[in-house]
Amino acid sequence: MKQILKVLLLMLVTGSAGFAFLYSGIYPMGADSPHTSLTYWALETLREHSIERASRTLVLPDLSSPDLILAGGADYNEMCSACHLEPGKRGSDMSAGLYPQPPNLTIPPFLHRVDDNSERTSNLAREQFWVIKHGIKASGMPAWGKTHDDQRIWAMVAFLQQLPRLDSAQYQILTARGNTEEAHH
Amino acid sequence: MSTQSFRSLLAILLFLTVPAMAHDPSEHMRAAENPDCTTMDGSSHEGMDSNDPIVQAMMKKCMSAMHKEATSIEAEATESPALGERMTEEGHSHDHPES
Repeated sequence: MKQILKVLLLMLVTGSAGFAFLYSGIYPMGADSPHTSLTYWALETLREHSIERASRTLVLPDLSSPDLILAGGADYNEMCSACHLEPGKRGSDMSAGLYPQPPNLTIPPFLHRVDDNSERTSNLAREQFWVIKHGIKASGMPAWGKTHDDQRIWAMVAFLQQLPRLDSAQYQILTARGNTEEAHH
Repeated sequence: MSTQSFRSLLAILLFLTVPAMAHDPSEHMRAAENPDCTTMDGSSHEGMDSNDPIVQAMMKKCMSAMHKEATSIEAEATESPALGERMTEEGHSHDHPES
């Protein structure tokens, strides 16, 4: 009985300390003040596992279709490049100011991993679709699915698969909106 | 109309307006940048893998751009017979690559 009381007391003290912390306002919320490494790890782990679980069952279309790549390129240039950059750019006001910093999508995603394989690439494409469609809470990443249908989002995913291999000239051709409509038909 | 009713009406109107703000590709057509296909000219095709999705997409885009350009020149020549004659004299045929 004494042990149970001790545990209950400990829970009460911990809970009260937690609420006191929340209401104190002492936690820095500015995007220019990074999380502690523990908070960052916890949020990143939560995010990665949540996205992986939610995107697991998505069915991939053929992402190598030139039409899909062209449609996605123009949208990427207008909707994403300010934060996620384009070939030849190392940063922008948005990419520097957002926290967490948006990933530079012109860099190959598995650059530092030795276990790169097609399954991992497929999973990444599913996760990219889910993130574009649903966004990420408190990160600056909007849910484009509210205003864009799945076909357009898959087109952006198709373009993302090619983006790390593009140079500036290729990027310009693939993202120029002029004549895109003709390319669709 | 009371202030409360006016606010409610305004909120409903704003809610109904949101779907109209979706990003429609045709909104960008007027200010659309044209592809710079000079890098796709003749000699630069060497070493390109025709099975590469990037190459296929670039070819498609540039063929489409060339087709559009040829069509607009043709239309201009039709509207202005003098221009058409000048083009024929200079050796420009009306043939254009098919996409």
